[in-house]
Amino acid sequence: MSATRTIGQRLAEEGVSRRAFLKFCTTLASMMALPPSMGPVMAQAIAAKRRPSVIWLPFQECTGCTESITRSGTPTLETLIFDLVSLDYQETIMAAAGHQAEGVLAAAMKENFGKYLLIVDGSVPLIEDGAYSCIGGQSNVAMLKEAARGAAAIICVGTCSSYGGIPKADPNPTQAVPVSAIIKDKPIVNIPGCPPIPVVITGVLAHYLTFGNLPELDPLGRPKAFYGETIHDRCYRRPFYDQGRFAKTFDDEGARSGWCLYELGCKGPTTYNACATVKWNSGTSFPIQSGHGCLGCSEPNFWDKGSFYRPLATANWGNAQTVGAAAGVGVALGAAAAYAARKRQDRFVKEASAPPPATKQEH
Amino acid sequence: MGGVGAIPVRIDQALTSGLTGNGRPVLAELAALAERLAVTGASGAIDLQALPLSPADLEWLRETLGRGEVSTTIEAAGPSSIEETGFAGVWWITHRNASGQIVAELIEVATVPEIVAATRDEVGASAARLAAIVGESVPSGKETRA
Repeated sequence: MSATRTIGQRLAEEGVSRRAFLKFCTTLASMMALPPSMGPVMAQAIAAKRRPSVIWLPFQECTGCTESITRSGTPTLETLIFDLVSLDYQETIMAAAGHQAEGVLAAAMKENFGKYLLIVDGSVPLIEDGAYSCIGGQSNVAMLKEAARGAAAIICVGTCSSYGGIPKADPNPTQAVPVSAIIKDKPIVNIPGCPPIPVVITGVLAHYLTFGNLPELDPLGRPKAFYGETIHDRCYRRPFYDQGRFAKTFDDEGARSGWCLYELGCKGPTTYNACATVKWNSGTSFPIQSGHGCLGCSEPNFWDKGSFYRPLATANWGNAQTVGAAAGVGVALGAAAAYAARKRQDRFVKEASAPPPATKQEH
Repeated sequence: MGGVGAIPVRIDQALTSGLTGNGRPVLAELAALAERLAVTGASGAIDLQALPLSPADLEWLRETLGRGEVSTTIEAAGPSSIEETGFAGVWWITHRNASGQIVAELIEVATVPEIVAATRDEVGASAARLAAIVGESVPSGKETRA
């Protein structure tokens, strides 16, 4: 039975060498701001594990999150995610359909009760008993409650399952809510973004496999390793902001010279995500590098916070104080970033050297 | 269409390059790691992507560390280059993905970098495979391969 083989054995059979996997873990460790010595530790720990069962439920969503992961530039290291887990149910990419598919879901939940990871993308509509989104005659809300019962933890992929996202945008006709509004008794990790960065999902799974628990989260339930700093903090255009050099329109001299897009509505200063460092499309670029401001898609209610093209100070993003604080932090960018990274490292090192505790949510 | 390169966006090099002075502390950390390796045998590494180093800083570091006698390329999910610096036991490692982009860059302080040395498990598998060839080979002088 395939379930008895370790991840290491499976990787070897699929032609992924120890060195390739070590390289993958070294890259992940670097992205997660772990000390480089953790790369080999992760590689060893994960290779010795069996793949956890993963059930992926799609609710009110556009499938963009699934696209983000499955099309992250195959064959790349990110796609190794499919070797790390046993993806037992995923409507979009599974071969089964209809009653057969629902049968697979029921069997996977029963067989791995209490141990499987539940991934959710999409928000959950509540109005009319959830009638606006049903799968096989069952409402999303009923399905979520049932699947959550046997889950070890829930990973919300995308802004919709994390915070409600675009379905929740005013006037929220389906009364959409995030997973955390319904499930209160399970550890939940939010990986927001519209869509989220693929490697962040891999990173959370790798952390879970290595340490046996979920990574450290910020107050909005996001892994600090990837959402610990704002886009603005790590933006390569930051030096222009600090010098007060701003593009005023999308075709002026400032825009052509690659100056800061703050005055054109960039939401980088109040948006926590890793786009500026991890980037998109196999590391090609990210929105600001392509000449457009950040939309703030990994933040709650980003759709209803005023125009994407009005500067932060006049849009409805917090108050002037928040923005001022965000701007102030960046002045000593190097020091602040290094300090944050160091703090994270200390914590991870402690976790790694301690015996693996049971799954728990940390704050 | 001229492609992306035709869009007249240029970045002010003076603002995003140049020496920041952040390279020097890396040397101090390397000195500490080298001493630890010499005394205790424990290896260590510095993740260059985790540090605020400019391209000029990286160049300065490479120049200061110099080149040693050993350089190796590993083909595993894209090329990785492992180069000994002018200091024995200090290795400059650059991991690239299949499309050639740098995914990780570090300096490892070790007698042999971890990714290079074969593990005992791997050698055990090699021993078994070699023994199998020896067992089935016909004494004809011709080379046989499994």
